[in-house]
Amino acid sequence: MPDNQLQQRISIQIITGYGSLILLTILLYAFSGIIDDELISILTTLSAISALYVAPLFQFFSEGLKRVEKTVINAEISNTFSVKLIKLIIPAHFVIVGGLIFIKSLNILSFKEMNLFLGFIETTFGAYMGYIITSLFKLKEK
Amino acid sequence: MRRSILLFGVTILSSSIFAQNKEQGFYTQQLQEYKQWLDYNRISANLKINEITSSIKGDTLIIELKSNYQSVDSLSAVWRNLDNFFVTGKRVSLADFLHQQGAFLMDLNPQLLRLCVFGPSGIQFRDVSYTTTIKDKSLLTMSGTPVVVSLEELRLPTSSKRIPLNGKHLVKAVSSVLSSQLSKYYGTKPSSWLYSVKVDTARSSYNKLVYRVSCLKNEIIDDGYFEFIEIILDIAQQPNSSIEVRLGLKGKYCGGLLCPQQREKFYYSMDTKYGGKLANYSDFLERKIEQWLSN
Repeated sequence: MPDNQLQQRISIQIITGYGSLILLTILLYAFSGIIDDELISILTTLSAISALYVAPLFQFFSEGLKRVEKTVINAEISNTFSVKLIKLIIPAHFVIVGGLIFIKSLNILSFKEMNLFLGFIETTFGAYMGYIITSLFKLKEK
Repeated sequence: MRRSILLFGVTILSSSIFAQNKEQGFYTQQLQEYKQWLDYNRISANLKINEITSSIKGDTLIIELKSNYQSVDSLSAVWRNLDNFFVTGKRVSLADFLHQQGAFLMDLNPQLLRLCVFGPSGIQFRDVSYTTTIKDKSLLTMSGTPVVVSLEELRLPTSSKRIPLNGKHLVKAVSSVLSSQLSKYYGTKPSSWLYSVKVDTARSSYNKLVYRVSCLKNEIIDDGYFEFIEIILDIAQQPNSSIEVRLGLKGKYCGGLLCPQQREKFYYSMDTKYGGKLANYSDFLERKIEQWLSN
């Protein structure tokens, strides 16, 4: 488990967020909110999100198992604006993605439009999220 | 004041450009559906269509089909063979068949769709448009010996039928019975607080009934998706004092918790994935029509 409270909180957010997205998609499929072809496409997109969030997390856990020495983030920084932003932006990202899938199932957006917006969200936030997670969990390339 | 007028003008112009782009996006998406449909029933392979594009001229959408045949004679021979096949077997010309499906997929009034077929070196071979009937203008004459083309591989939808009715003499009587029975039949389909079945008859005329029924569930397919069907009934007087009803059926489906009504961008064509079910439903409708008219 992560030593730091912030790391712990972000880890829980990522796992809960990712799990909720998969659950939401499967539930909507079960209620005919999306058709089978759309389900496959959405799950493919979610796997791309998993590569972004969950993969670094597991890398961090595996490093923990190997007892690699980790630098503990200073508790003082937990109140700064940037930390507050990080705490907000990760759940917000999951909420936006989940919201888009739900809006599609209400037929307010077409599947093509949903994909367009998902692409936009991923392109806009993806790289920044990658930086945040890598630095937060101290996953430096060797 | 001037600034306000200018700002208003710019807003109107930009919203119009936005709407036009959105429309173009929809047509591009539907053009892919049209291409898949042509590939599926192998008309593409027969006519060697290698490129399909669309453009908008005024309020008319123009679909351009480009054939890869080396000579116009070959293309012309294939077109004639296909046309004969359709006219004798389905009582519909090839031009009509292509135009009807195009108008359905693009959600256009038939008058607003033009279909152009181009041969080798970009020579225009066919110009198909619609006034009150399909007008298929052949733009080239053929020379030399026609090429014999096998049409055995065509996979045509069975959702188009001819129903001869002996003993019926009046087109008006038949069309009014069918009209009231169809409205009654689809009007009683189950609805819920999330959706309700809508029957649109706006495109019907004296001897042609066009019923567009949206928000149906479990009518053709049993997967719980929303279904949107278009039933075209052509009622024609035959020489032997009988009436013939030509039934055409097209279907689309989409997922969703709320029904998108007739907004076409949400739907996928049933032709490829649920072709068999569509054909079964066509048989069912044929039996229904015979039953309604036998009373």
